Amino acid sequence: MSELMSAISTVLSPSVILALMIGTVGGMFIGAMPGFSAVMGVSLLLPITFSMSPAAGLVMLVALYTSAIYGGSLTAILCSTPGTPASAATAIDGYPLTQQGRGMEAVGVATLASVFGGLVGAVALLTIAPQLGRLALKFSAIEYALVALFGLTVIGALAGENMMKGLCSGVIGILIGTIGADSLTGFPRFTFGSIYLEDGLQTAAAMIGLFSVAQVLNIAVNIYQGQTKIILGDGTGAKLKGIALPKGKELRELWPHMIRSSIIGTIVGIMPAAGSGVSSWINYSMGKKFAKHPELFGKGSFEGIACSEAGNNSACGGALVPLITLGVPGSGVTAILLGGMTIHGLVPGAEMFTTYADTTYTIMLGYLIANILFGVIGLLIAKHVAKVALVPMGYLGPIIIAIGTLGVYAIHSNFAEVVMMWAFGLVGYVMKKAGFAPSPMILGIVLSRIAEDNLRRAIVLSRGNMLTYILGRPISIVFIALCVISLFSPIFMKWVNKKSRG
Amino acid sequence: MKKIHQDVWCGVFLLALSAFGYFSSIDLAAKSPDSVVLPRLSLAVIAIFGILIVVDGIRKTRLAAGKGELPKQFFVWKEMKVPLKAFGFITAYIALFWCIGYMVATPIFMLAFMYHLKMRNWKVMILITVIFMAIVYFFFVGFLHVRLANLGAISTYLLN
Repeated sequence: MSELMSAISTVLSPSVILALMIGTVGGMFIGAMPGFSAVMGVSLLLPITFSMSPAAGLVMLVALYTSAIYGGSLTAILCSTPGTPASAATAIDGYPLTQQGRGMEAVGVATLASVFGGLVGAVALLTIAPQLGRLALKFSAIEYALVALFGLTVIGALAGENMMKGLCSGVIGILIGTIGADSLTGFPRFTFGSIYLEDGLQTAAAMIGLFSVAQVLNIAVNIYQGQTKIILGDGTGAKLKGIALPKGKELRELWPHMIRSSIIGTIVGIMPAAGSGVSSWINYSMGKKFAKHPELFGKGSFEGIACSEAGNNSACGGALVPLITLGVPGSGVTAILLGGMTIHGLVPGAEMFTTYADTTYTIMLGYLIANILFGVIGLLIAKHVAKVALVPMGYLGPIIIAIGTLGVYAIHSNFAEVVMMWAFGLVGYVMKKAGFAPSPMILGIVLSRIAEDNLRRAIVLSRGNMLTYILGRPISIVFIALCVISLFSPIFMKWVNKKSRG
Repeated sequence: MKKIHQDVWCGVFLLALSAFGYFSSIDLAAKSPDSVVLPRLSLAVIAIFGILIVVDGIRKTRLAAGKGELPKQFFVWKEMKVPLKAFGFITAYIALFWCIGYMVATPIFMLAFMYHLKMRNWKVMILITVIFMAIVYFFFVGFLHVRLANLGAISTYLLN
């Protein structure tokens, strides 16, 4: 308790507050840029923290982490160009709402859901981090593989209007995910002798290509058909004033989704290899199963946005749990944060709650405050950023391409990734014309390696006796049950509905 | 010639992709059988989907013929002209980026593409381009040290 009180006074010091504000605003800006991500933002700002106190420096980094995940939703909603991979699911419903003149409300819902999810993750971090850390220790290769497989079973929910084409798109994504050197044996797969493909196809390049570049091609078509702005029609019906949230029943319907997605997101975030991106997809598809209006998913659903955003921000808090309690980074961002903590003289693990308790609780409180801060800023700027829908698309299109190219190139300064983005842009446009949804492909690319690598490791660990191995692990049995339910529940529900109508 | 629904071509493409992938993996399968399990499983599933999509495409072709309508076509020049031209601009930008670097290629691309997208207010176009490049230079290059200041392959060649 005394450490908490001391941390409160530390977090309210001028240097930490300044660091918090820089991290929050900077994170929102970096996250909103397509191609730039929380990983890049944290790695670019890390050297700046060397001259700061450990508390201020690390508070700035965690604030940037959670704000960047939120910031990605802004461009996802307004321009259908996700700023971060974790916001790709938000674009599916956010952009149609912008076209309908409800972009401000969509940004408001994304803000509210991100704050809620972030706060749930922050409270979990503050109160039960050591217990959650022990839970993380129980996960092994088979559990990671089953989480990824569970994620793959939700591809059907993202399939769009044509289930067969959507599932095919997901499987193509899985195939694309195998390109590159095999992580277990080192043999190159489908690289055709190119060293640029040895590391595989970068998810960011694929995502920017499939979403942003393809969207710009659509923009060109729309302009030549006479539509000059994102908003459909003349824009007079657009809601750009007042409170940036839907009212009444529409708002009330969001709370169960946010609660469920935040809890699931926090647990998913705890697992190394899973993260905000995986969490947002899993929660989006689960949201469709529980939604009051599932028919709106893909056409402009506030419920879809709430699920995706609560899921991705709560996973940030979850990802910090194994980092702080065990010193195990679960993602690229937390790996860089681990480096930052080490540089500042902290030793992640049990000592974080004893020797470094003051700094640890300051980081956690800073993370909690950052979630509130970006929420306040987000709701204040919602009506202004939503006006992007009224900007002529002829100005937006080139900016989207320039930013996307910048973002993809800046990751590794590798021009080959820009070429990948270019290729995926054409692929994304052609896919949409042919009726294949791009979202399942992205999910397939993200989850393919996680599922395959961990499944093969699990086979080695089971020493040829997979069934006994799985039956001895209760968490695995739970995940298998979830996979089966996820796969067969749409068929079962259809049968139930048919029976009840008959 | 009888017009075929675009799904038939999509299905044929998927079957061709599956066959190509399978034959590309033969060498690897000999060296490391474990490495090709998931890729070949994916290719097999893609082939199955390819067949189903072809069958569905044939059904849609017959349905359209029965109604006296033209089935949905994959490549109609009239529809593809605009996005292909836009893609051409993006391709030229990528090539220019490689040749002369991001900082020089981007303003050229932005102005040209805005003009192609029917923007005609030069003051606004130039203002947007200047502000954008200023943000890129001062924030990304200056503050975040993103490496963009090189002048591309041509300058590297000339300097060497």
